[in-house]
Amino acid sequence: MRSGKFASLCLLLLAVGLAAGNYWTATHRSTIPLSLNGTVTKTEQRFEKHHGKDDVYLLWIDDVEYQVDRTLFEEVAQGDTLQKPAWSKQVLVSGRSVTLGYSKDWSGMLIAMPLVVCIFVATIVFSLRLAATEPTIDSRAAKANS
Amino acid sequence: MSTSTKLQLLAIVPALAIGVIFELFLGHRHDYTGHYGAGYGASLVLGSLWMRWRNDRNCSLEDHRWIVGVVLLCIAAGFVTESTIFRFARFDWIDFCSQSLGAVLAGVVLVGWHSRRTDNELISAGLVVGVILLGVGASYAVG
Repeated sequence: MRSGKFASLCLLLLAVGLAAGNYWTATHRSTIPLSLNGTVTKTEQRFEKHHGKDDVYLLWIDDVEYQVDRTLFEEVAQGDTLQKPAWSKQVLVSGRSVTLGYSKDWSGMLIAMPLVVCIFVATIVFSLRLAATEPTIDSRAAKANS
Repeated sequence: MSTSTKLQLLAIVPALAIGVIFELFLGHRHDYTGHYGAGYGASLVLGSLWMRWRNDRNCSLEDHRWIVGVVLLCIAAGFVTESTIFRFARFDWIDFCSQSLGAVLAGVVLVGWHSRRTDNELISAGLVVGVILLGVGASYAVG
């Protein structure tokens, strides 16, 4: 059963990492954790499957690509300069102050991902308990033969 | 309740609970729920088939490493499909992480099922639940 516990621990670590990945991606798109200092060289809105719901907003700042939330995208145009320190909610767009906020994705992830991890923990405990209490078909066959 | 029923519920209840959480808190993006469901369904199908294959070859019951291997394989396959045939506007890390969470949950179910891998009903249940959730997930992801 040690092998089962080890596999479960690996799976739990993977789940925590992926849940954190979801949360961090939503946080990164707000640009709040980023330090920005440069010129917008290109902007582009791309469409996915559901126009207006899952559109992708891209900015190139000094030719480096960033996927951002709609709030910031709508405030900037090609040629604007952006300035902000990391973790500030205020960004200077060509000298004009713009307040950043978190998206619905971010607030959803903030609650959903910890709950998902809790369900993983409960499922792993239940799964290991079931595997430990129930004799395996192999062991029952061995017992019957003896 | 028999252990067999508990093991079958293990494949359904946590998967649905996480699906409900996605819909409750991220319901403005059904495609996230869809990616999670499709990742879970596809991985449960592959894991159940792998379990059958190992059973046919009388592989060790003490070795659970194959489950982590199958999960990593499913995550890698999801990365490739998300980068190629399902890449519409851009590679979406949230789609990828959500479908991978589904794959990891399928792995947790397989850990619970491992000691009863010769139970053909269980493997059939895995295939049925997996195909249904793959279909529902795919329709949520693109529908």
